[in-house]
Amino acid sequence: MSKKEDINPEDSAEKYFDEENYSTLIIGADKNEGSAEENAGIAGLLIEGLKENKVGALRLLKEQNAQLALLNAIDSVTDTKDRSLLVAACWESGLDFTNHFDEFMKLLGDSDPLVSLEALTVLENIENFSSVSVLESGIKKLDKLIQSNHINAPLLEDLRLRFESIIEEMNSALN
Amino acid sequence: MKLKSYFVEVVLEKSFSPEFMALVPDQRKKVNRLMDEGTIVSYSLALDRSKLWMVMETKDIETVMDVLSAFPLIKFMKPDVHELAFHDNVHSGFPHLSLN
Repeated sequence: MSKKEDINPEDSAEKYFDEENYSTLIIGADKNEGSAEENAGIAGLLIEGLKENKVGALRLLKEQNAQLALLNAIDSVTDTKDRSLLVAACWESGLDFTNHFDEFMKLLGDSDPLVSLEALTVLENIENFSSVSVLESGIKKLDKLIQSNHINAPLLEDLRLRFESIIEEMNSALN
Repeated sequence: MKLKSYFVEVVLEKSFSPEFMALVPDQRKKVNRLMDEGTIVSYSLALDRSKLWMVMETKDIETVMDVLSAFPLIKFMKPDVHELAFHDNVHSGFPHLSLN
């Protein structure tokens, strides 16, 4: 990825999302559309934006419906602090990740407790589920994590109860 | 017995150590239980994770301190407690009636 000017921390976060200054379109790119190198570059810019001007970066992510950019960035980052920052941005931005339930169920089982905790918060914030089977599959994954004594197991039990309650509501609405 | 309202500002330790993270699930469960019971009526976390703010309704400040001291994460917290004259929010009181 090339850029026309050096990054000035005093600038607003908007520059990180400016197509004129960055050769790769950051926001709204399809998942896995870019190369690993491009995705890593985008992840670096998102992390920098979130660290320097979190409110501005979150606003832009929301305005640009940047779910896929965030997911690509999470996939390409290995540092656990940066990964947790990006996963946190998913719920802090107020974006809807209903269609990415499975990705966050996977992150929920991450060995890093903070990455797992932030993924848990994303899942807690999902309000609409497409089907009961999605939730049932989520419960099966939760059971495996709880049985394996995941560090966040006590909270996973609460999420399991929430999923059960939503299934009950969905079933009663159908009957 | 009339309960009093207290505003609690908590400064959190900056680095999230493994010990801190290991206690987070218990802390969240504890807070959820206190919210269900009505002891904590609001609970907010700063975007930069540096502070927590909560409003508690208890009989006196000693009870607030007892509740705080039972937090799993208390050793990583510096709380500051203020008694409030009142605490109001949009959800309190009677619901608005619709004429439609």
